[in-house]
Amino acid sequence: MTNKRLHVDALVVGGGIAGMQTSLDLGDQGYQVALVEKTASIGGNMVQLSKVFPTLDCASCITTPKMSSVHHHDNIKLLTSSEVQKVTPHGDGFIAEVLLKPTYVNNDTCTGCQKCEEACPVDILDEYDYGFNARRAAYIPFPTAIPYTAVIDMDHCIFCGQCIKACPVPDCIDFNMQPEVIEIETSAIVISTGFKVTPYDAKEEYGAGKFRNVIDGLMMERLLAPTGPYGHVLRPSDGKLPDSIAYVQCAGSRDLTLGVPYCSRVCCMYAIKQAMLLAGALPMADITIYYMDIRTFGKQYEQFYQNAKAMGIEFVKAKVARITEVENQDLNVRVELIDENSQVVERHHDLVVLSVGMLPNYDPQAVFSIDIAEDKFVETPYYHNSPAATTRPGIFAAGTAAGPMDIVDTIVTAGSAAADVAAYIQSHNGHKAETAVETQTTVAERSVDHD
Amino acid sequence: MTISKEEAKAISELMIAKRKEHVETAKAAQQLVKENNAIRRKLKKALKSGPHTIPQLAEETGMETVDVLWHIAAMEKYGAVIEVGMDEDEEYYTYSLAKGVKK
Amino acid sequence: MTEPNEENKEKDVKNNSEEPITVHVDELKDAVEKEIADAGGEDIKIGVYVCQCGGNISDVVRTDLVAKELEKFPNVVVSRDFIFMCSDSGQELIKKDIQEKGINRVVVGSCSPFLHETTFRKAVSSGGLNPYLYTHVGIREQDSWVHADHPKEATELAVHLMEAGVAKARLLEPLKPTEIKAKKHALVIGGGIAGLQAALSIAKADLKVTIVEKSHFLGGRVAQWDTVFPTDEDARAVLNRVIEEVLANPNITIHTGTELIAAKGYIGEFNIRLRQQPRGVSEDFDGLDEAIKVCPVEVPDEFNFGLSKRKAIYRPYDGCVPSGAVIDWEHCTKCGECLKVGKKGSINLDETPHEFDITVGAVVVATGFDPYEPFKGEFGYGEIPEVITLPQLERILSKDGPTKGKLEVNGHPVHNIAMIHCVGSRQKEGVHKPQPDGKVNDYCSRVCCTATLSAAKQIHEHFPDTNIFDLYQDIRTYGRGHEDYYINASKNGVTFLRYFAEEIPEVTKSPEGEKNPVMVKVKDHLTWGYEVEVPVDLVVLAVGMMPTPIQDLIGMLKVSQGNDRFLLEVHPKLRPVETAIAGIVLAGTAQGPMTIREASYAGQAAASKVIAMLITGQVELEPFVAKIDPERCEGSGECVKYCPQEEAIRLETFTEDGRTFQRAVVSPANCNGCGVCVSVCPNRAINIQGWTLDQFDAMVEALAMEVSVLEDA
Ligand SMILES: Cc1cc2nc3c(=O)[nH]c(=O)nc-3n(C[C@H](O)[C@H](O)[C@H](O)COP(=O)(O)OP(=O)(O)OC[C@H]3O[C@@H](n4cnc5c(N)ncnc54)[C@H](O)[C@@H]3O)c2cc1C
Ligand SMILES: Cc1cc2nc3c(=O)[nH]c(=O)nc-3n(C[C@H](O)[C@H](O)[C@H](O)COP(=O)(O)OP(=O)(O)OC[C@H]3O[C@@H](n4cnc5c(N)ncnc54)[C@H](O)[C@@H]3O)c2cc1C
Repeated sequence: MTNKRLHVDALVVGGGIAGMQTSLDLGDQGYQVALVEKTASIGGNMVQLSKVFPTLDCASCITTPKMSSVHHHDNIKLLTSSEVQKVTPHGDGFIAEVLLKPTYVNNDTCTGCQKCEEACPVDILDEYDYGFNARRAAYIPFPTAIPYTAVIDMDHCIFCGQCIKACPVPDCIDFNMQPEVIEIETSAIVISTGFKVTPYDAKEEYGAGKFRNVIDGLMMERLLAPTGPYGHVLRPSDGKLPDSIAYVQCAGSRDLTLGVPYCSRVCCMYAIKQAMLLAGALPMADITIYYMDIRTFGKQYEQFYQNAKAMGIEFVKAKVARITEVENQDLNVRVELIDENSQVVERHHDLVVLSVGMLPNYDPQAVFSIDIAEDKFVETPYYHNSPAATTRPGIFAAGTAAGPMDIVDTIVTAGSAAADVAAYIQSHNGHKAETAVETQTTVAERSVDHD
Repeated sequence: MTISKEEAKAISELMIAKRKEHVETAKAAQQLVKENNAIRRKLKKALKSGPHTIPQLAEETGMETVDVLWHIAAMEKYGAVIEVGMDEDEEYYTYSLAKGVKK
Repeated sequence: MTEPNEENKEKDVKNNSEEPITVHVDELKDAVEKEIADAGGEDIKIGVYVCQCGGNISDVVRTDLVAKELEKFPNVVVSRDFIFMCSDSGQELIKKDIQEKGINRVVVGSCSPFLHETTFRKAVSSGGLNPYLYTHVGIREQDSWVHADHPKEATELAVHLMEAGVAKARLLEPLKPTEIKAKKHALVIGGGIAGLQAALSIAKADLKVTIVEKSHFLGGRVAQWDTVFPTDEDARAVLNRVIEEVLANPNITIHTGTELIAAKGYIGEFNIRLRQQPRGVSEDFDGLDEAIKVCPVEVPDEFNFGLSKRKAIYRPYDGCVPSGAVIDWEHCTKCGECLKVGKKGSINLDETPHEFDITVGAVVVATGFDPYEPFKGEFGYGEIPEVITLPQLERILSKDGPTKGKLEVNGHPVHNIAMIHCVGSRQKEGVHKPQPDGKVNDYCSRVCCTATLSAAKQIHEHFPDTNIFDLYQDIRTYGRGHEDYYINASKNGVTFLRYFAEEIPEVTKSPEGEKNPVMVKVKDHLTWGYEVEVPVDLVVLAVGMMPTPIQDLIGMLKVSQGNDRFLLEVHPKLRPVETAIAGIVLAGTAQGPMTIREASYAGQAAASKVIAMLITGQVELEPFVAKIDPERCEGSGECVKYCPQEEAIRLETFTEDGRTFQRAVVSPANCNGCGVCVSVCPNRAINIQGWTLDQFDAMVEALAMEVSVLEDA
């Protein structure tokens, strides 16, 4: 049933910051890139963040222009709502079978006017805001989504037809849209499928999932974001402005009982960042961070930590044993104060944030025939010498697919993967970047857009 | 958008056909819409008398605060409700019906 | 013209019709000017966009009111505010207005131009306009962020700033970047792991690379380590894999013993002068052992961090690349003893440094780090022989080190060791002694925690009877595979003691006759904050990293350093390996502490940028350079006198109608647009393109205008 084939130099799988940067670096070198993203928009976890350490730029200010550059780059072909199903060797390269999932909206003609969204009568939990707010069954994923086009959520549709009636573009909404499979012929592949956070309810003694006011770091990112669900930092149980917020570090990392022995690298910094942002948003609130070791190891990160201390954020070296819910859905946090003779005390807070760690978001073994390491992230066997290479020649990894890391490190690994891809292509089929223009016309001719 | 009779008919035929393909989910979604609408009516009624905080709305409607907050956030997002101020203790925001104000 | 334009009145209208000078016309007039002439008659239609920055601006500044206010200004055809102007839909707005409303000047008020000026220029360009018909106004960093407490005034300020932007936009003219040919050849400074990786990746993309390494061997610091974490591999094995590939790649030329002595130029064409120290010994010299024996000069061996001595003829280490021996010219007395052994003619003590030039299109700075050198007396260092640094311990553990891998210090075996973290890192002002520049090292050096625990593991493996006490603040075993060393250490019985930076441990010499030569006193916060005394045989200071001092290079290349003295990237997320100087990128620990893996990543990422810059053989330079108005220039030469750039501006002689006169001529590629010439020109004959004096006048005038009182903000 496959009849469309796209010819590229590199296939990048996953459109978070890692995949976007890899695509841009390769595109800028003159290589043809296909970027395949599972969800309806590129951007990954980073677009959901509020502001990002260490510079405290708003996350959107860094991400959205990169998303836009990817979208408009002459050498990058973007495929959203798509997944690689199968990879077969082909000469020195690969043929990847990619499933384009129907969004029931024609990406080429949708103007993003949101008329369908306004007309849709179904309100369900918005995953972009971790359920703190609603979205419609006909919706644009988020305000800076790329492509900025609507999606119809069939699983929550009541088939009232209002969206079709409201849509000003003829035949744009298409309930008969079918999945499509295309083939991508490529010389090299980059896995940049990113991370998910450790489930916040994994540690039962912390009560997350049960107690409304125990949330995780990503949820706090949304509460802090200017485009967040409430427009303010309110606690989810009742909309109260919190006045005593606690952070529990390593809630899901460095924890053998959860099978996550490693450090997730970003949680210390994001907790400190959030604490600083909270101090700005809620000047009267007390903020406490319970930690084992503060790991602010990156460039300018230690200074960031010291600034937070100077701002009055309380750092307590402690093990958090248990969280219980008390009156008003406030919380008692039972801690063992390590710096005070391991004394056990109960401290009262009205919002607790679990600094959850990172897990890989995708297991590439079956489709890509590459190994994963003991930590379940992509194995990079040439650890020191060729850090982006996986166990299969021609397939490379960038960003958090290859282990926890922050955005700064992610962007550097993306550049590294791009260099590896370029070298691989040069040494295998001798593609010269100068011939990019020719290849590009090939791409254009074999356009894969739905028609 | 004005839609001709034929077009409207075609759409509703298509919808009927599609609903048959997705009987279970469509039913569940319909139930959800029904419940949501009932709740929204209750909340709107309560808000008619003036600005309310989330706990005040919960008290008046007999709902859980957490559910009230979700619906109010949703109504704010889609333009039915606006935030107007804070309560005396500056602990909670107060919300009102948006009079024709669309976001 | 739709509306009368007051600011335009005084503007001297450029007359582009005929050129009075008959020679060198090309140099004074270019295609862009013709374009200006063509565009001359058009109506100015300005589009104004005020970014809310998702609340970053609009939480303070009433962006809706600002947009409304700006609508009133002459030539403004459309004025809007929007949640994220930099997003795709924001950029689309601009493009649509260009196409549908015919706007031909664009003003965006948003973050600092540093972040997104180029983003918007690109949007303007893809809308079909010349990208330089764009003015960027900073109303976030320069307004909403700093005036959060005064929203009303901040809104007024935004109006002022935006007005000035509009005033400037009226006078904008199309510009064209200078296009120059780029040498498809890169220079990598530093032959450590980062530099080698960068060179290799660049070379594999079929560009030429020259590696310049100051020392006489490749590999940098990694050559000095024994076993590297987290793979527990032999450090040399890791290194040799890269070195072999580098040596085998025909695109790479290597100069060891070489340093830069001069650099000028710009992206695409940097002219570099190099000076290479002679080795003095030919590669096939067969009498090295003998020569070393007879050499009378003994100096501390830097390769062993001073733990042993070496001669003035030496080989850094066995197996080094290049493999030959060298003469230490600084210490050689030229006594001639070595000339008497081995094959005749193999040693030449009269060799002199050799200078030569290369031209490259881009430069990678990968000059690496130096371990922090504790002050004499800091934790007893330099006074108690049993106090050493972690790099010295690495040498001791190394099979070819000063003790041949035996755990011995000052001649006696070691059973109890105290390792102190954060020496020379995470320092506090007022607690720690500052460096000569007056600053303490307040940063974390990132690798020392794992390197320390890795060394502890090696010691436990080879010398199982050793007791290790680990004095730390926070254990930062952050990386992939690092945490295992921490878990391992606890299992192996390493005793952890936690100190605070404000109360650093005390190291003293034990009284004569004590079993253990050193006493460490620490207030341990894991046990009641009690003072604990630990008698030990060896104290290891886990010293941090400092950038290799490269003040001369910094001067030549004009790159910047951060507060921590490491080289500074443009932006840690947007352009993490680039410097503010186009064509110069960073790799490895010259930029900040890193592990080998991270230095490899960084080297390859730097290569990616270099490849993108040079692969087409063509680069574009920003057009913001000085431009002479030949009709106003009287050839005073003031500009040439004060210009701080080499070869950026010069006087040339012209003849016209038999008359000979001098005029200033700019070479755009060398000019960095600093504007010194503009300020010294007595005839107002020089302007920086894109930032002309007329534009400044108009902006100042606009800023001084009264803003109509806004409705309550
Ligand atoms: C709470 C929190 C706060 C943070 N704050 C900061 C901060 O302030 N500063 C900072 O530097 N870092 C921060 N980080 C870290 C930052 O989020 C990550 O470094 C970064 O997002 C990693 O980007 P990525 O592209 O590797 O992964 P992701 O963002 O996860 O992107 C992966 C992409 O791949 C897609 N994908 C997954 N599987 C497939 C598949 N099979 N096929 C196709 N596509 C697929 C996903 O949908 C996603 O779009 C924070 C992290 C957390 C958890
Ligand atoms: C005690 C210790 C143990 C460590 N152990 C490990 C470990 O086990 N695992 C790990 O991953 N990392 C380890 N590291 C870190 C590792 O050493 C660095 O990551 C690595 O050396 C960085 O490489 P680089 O190329 O950036 O710098 P360097 O290794 O410093 O190389 C820089 C090179 O540039 C040259 N150079 C300097 N100035 C000039 C100039 N002006 N002109 C020309 N050339 C110049 C130098 O001579 C040198 O060859 C350790 C570090 C320390 C201090």
